[in-house]
Amino acid sequence: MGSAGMTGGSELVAEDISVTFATRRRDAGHRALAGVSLGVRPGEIVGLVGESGSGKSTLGRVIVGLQQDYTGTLRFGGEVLAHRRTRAQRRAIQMVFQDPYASLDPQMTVWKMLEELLIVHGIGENREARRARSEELMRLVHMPPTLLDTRPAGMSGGQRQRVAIARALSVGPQLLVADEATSALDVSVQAGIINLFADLRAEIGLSILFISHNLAVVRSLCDRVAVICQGEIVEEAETRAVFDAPRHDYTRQLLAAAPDLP
Amino acid sequence: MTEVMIEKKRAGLMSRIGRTGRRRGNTHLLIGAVIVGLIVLMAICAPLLTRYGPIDQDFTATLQGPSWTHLLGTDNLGRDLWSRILFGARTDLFLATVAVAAPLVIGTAIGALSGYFGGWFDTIIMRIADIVVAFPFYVLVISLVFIMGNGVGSIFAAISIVSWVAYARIVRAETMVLSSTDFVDALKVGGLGSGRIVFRHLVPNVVSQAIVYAMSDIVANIGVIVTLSYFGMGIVPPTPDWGSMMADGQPFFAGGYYGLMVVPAAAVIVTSFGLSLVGDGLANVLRVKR
Amino acid sequence: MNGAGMATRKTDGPAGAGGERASAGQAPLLEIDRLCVSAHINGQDWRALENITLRVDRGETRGLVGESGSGKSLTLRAAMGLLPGSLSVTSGAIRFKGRDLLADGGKAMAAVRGTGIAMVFQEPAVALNPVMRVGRQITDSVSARRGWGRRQAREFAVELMDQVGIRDPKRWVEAYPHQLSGGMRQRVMIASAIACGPELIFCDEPTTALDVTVQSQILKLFSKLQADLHAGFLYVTHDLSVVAEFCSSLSVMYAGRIVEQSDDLKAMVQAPVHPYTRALLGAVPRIKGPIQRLRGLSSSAPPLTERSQAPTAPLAEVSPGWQVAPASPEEVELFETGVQAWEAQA
Repeated sequence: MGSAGMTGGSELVAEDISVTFATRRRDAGHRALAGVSLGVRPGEIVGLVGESGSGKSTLGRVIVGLQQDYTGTLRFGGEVLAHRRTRAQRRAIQMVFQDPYASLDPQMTVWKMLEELLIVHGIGENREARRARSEELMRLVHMPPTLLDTRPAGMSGGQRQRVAIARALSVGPQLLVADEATSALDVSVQAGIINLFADLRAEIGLSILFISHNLAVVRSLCDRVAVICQGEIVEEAETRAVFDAPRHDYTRQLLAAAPDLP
Repeated sequence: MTEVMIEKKRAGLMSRIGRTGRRRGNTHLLIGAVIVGLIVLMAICAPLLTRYGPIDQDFTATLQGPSWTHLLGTDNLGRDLWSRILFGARTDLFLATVAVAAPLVIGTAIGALSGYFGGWFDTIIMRIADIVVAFPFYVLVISLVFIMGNGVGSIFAAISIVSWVAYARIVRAETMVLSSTDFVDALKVGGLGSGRIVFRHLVPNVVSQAIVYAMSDIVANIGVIVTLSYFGMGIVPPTPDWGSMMADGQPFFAGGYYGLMVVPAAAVIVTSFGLSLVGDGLANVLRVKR
Repeated sequence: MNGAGMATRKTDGPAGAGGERASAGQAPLLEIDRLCVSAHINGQDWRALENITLRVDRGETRGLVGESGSGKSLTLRAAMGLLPGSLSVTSGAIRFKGRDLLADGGKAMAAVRGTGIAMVFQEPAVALNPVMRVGRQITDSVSARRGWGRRQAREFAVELMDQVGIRDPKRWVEAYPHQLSGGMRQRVMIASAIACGPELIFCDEPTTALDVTVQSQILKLFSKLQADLHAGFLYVTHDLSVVAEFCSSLSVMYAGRIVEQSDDLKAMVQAPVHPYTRALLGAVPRIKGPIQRLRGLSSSAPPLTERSQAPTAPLAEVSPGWQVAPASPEEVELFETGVQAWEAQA
């Protein structure tokens, strides 16, 4: 058991994933994902970049099990993930959302939030064990354990996002899907969260699927990048290769459009 | 991608506005709570505040004006008005409050489940709600009175059957808004069951709106109870109640005995005013939370 | 009648009087001079903006950058005379072409708003009227002022829509905002902003809600308009990269004051002086160059009520057109280490 109880070592493989949303007018429906394949190896940080409506969030939701209506195959650690997952499978893949203001229950203290998950998943045999684990989780996301007994209502955006990450880590996932997890934060706070993700990979071997519209952020964090456009992955390679020698026109277009400091 | 920045910006600018809103809410709440508190206290302590029983008749002293022996005078049967008002408050407030509790609980539960699950469940619930609301309320009450007879039971049943709908609609709308944010998805990914998500997480966050509405609903219920009693379909005499007091006093209104109607009417108005202030104040206080 | 926005301004000019134009030639287009704004919270006054001094000249594009709580949007609102009721200007001046806009109880401000000064907002979806056709929306204020008829206004709208790069404007002039994409809506808002031929354009995060490719198109449009209209731009955003793309000069705000500003954005970005500017730039991820660990900074500015109320020293000039606020040792420490108190405890 690592510092927060992750085992690590499972690879996610998504094969030929398609999602079609029903629309009222057209019979065909709107195709959000059209046969997408993507893998995240243990301890790897993979970036998924695209514009709004590209299907990047939909793929993230399929992977964590929020979007159950899809075709294709998901494998995690060699085991096929059914559309309805077992509790252990759900624990293994967790998610951090964009808006730390919306995703946390403002009425609950951080400790209550963490404790609830620990109880539901049967982690920690008694209150002391759960408390100790919660304190450890807080340290893992670089927050003082004293904040456990406060509510998110009084916290800054960066602190809330750290709490959200602590909550995701509480059940001991091997893969974290971060959907625009830094997009709503200030630049300097975003930098802190990016560093935290890098540290978590180093410390507990967490794999991360980092979904973002921001190319520069993806470049600074990820080992590998997949570029998604209109439900299809148009390019996927090592980060350096994508940014230094993009092969697909769309990638080039994105890179040309991205603003940068002189 | 920037909702939060907007949100934060707004929070920064609005924080003071929120605070004044809160303060005004607090004043309203305070005044309302004092009024309602006094009335409730008077109702609870009724036997201590009067020497007469509410149904004690004294044919030697009928239709008297206010005096030191009878603070608000007496009615045509020589019953002490002050005493009847106090004991009437017990009946009406108790019934109005109890009649709010059941719809509040039932409506909140149904609304939260309906908003959370959506789909066919939601459709069925909302169609039922439409039918209930479309049915004329007083026709429903009168039919129930015919079936169950006059009295508290019928009033309670009639109000419960109808007024859960309002709570369900309020809570459903709030739940749907909350469900469309990351809030619920985050809980689902955490592996929490639907029941826990709905009742442990969604309901505490949406119930404040329902509670605010409940305050105005108590006012509405008092109105309903008083109206029904006035028409002789509600509280059965001799149980003291403001509505039947008004009905009893009506024949003497033209004779100049205004107090028999005005006093209970005033009681209804003051109570409603107090409850409205409480509701208003609560709405302001509970609003800025996130 | 010559209806095009740019041409109109050059010929008759919204300010009108020729004498004023001559004198305005010397005064900067916009001059915010030691502006202080305070917020009234719980019976106490707190300084929300502290000695804001900046100027925008004709043809200049100035970026005003800061994180949440920095006061950048507040500065813009103050300059537009749109402060919320709880905030008030306590001292300082806002001059447009040498004329103090705060002097006569906001009348001067109202006169230039929508004629000399225009504004582009962040959320076109919110700022546009959903039940009005976009063509009318673009020309609404102008045609009222000039007493134009329907056809004339429509022609002008088509012309403006063409100018902001909406293809086939005749087709879209009768559309409602919801029928347009986000990028097109922002173009419509820009069209209505330039309809009156403004000399100064305020932008409040105008591309923040847009996709990166659309953002790049809008920035190109701004550059084109800047060249066409020779107007001054005050561009408020949290995004340094965007500012670097479009602006020529830069002011950086933190906790209600300007910490560093320069007429030469490029020089300042490459060698920032103030520790906060350095930290902020170190936190910006890059598209090119070596990949380095970012500098995670503390967090956004402390809330108003927790800020130091000590008067701040004026900005010092490091070179012509480049000013820097003095930093206290605590600030240097905070920004250099980038560690916030709550993080240090962890």
